[in-house]
Amino acid sequence: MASRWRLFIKKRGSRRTGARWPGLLAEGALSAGLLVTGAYGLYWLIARVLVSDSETSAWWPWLAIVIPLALIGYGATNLLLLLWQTATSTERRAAAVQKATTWELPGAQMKSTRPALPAVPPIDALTDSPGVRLAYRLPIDAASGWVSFTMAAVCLIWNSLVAVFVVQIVRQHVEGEPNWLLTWLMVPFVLAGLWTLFALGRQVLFNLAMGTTCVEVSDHPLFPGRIYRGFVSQTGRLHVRWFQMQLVCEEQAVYQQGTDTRRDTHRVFRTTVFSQRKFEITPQQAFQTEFDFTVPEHAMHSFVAPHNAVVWSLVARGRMVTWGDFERRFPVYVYPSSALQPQALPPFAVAGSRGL
Amino acid sequence: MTRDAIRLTLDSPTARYQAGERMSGRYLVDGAHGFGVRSAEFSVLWYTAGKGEEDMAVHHFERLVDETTRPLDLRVPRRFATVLPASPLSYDGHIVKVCWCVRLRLFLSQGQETVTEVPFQLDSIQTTPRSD
Repeated sequence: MASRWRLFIKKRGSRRTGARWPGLLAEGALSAGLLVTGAYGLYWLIARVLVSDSETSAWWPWLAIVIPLALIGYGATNLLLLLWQTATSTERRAAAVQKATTWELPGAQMKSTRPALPAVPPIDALTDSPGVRLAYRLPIDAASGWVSFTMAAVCLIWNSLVAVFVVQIVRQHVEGEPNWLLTWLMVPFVLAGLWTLFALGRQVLFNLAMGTTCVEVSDHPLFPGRIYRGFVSQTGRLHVRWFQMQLVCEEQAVYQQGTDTRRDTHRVFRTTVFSQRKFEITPQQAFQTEFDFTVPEHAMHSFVAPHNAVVWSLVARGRMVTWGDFERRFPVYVYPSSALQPQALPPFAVAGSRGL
Repeated sequence: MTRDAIRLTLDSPTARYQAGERMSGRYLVDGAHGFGVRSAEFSVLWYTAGKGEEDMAVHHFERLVDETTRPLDLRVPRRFATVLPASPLSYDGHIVKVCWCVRLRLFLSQGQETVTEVPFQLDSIQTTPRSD
């Protein structure tokens, strides 16, 4: 069947609907065009303005020189990258990147004494916080903090814009020249603004009522097939319907859909390691408990690459009488069992960076 | 040149290796094709498959170039060996897969190139589960 022209379809990833060379040619022509434009702009600026107009000593041509220089830099870099990508294979480029990661830069921090595991996240960032009850306190996943921040930003920007229009409309009404069309048009915008204020207020109250969740583990990193001790502490003023601690493993994939970057997540493992129903948490008496959990024997280790990841977490989740459901994540790292026998392994460099 | 002319084989018949294990094998190009190769790149690498964009990293890389002083004759079998790393282990997930392979890329005199690869499994060293 003959392929049809598909102009308005969003392609997944790096798939192509046509040959490779027209794209390379177009990219090369664009980069060369930018380079030539930048070079001509620089020549024109120096020869026609800076040299001939030197007596007037205007300052702006010196500032404007940034524009052609940026074009030259961008065009030249793109051309070199294109040549490198065209002339070399994927493996050769990846090997060059791999080799570059082994260079020791002067003044750079010394490598960790722990065995380096390619494509496995380094543990040092997670083990620098000792726990009160157990060996390590786990940091909370940063995503939960971003919810409040995003809500606050949206609320502030939306209501600031709406306020400008509302002030204008109110002024028109006060002056006896009301614009009723604009007034009625503003109603849904004002309602949306009020809703963002309500949602933000609820989020702030939720954060205040929920207090803090603290999770600690007896050892870190975790290894498949081993049993570990965990500790969770929950503060706040809450009537809890149910509260659970879960060990969760998720696959994460980032891909391009047309010009959009999308992320997909798939949960591949979940087990409840602690569960309790119907209890109270008061500001005077935080909820605290210890629990045991086992990492499955044939579990995939934590894996991180620029576009793909396997992520393990301890998740505190529950349902409160007033505030509904909540979920807080605490990433943990599962290392492969082979990391337990470092003497059996070769001295390899950290990999995982994309060499494309 | 067809892919059938390229022979890339691993010494292990099961193509399963454990982290830290030595992997070896050999490659050659059959008949008259073996002499028309401008350069050859042999690599041991992992790449991701599945829903996300492809990530890849090379663990071992060799590049052989046809020179007047040292002509490249791939009709003679060439052996390779490397000690495999501790990670990432082979993984067949739902939207993320980690695949290991040995790959031979040949650049021919006419400007064409041909690629052959042999997949293998990298598994973890089995340990006895115990509690802390």
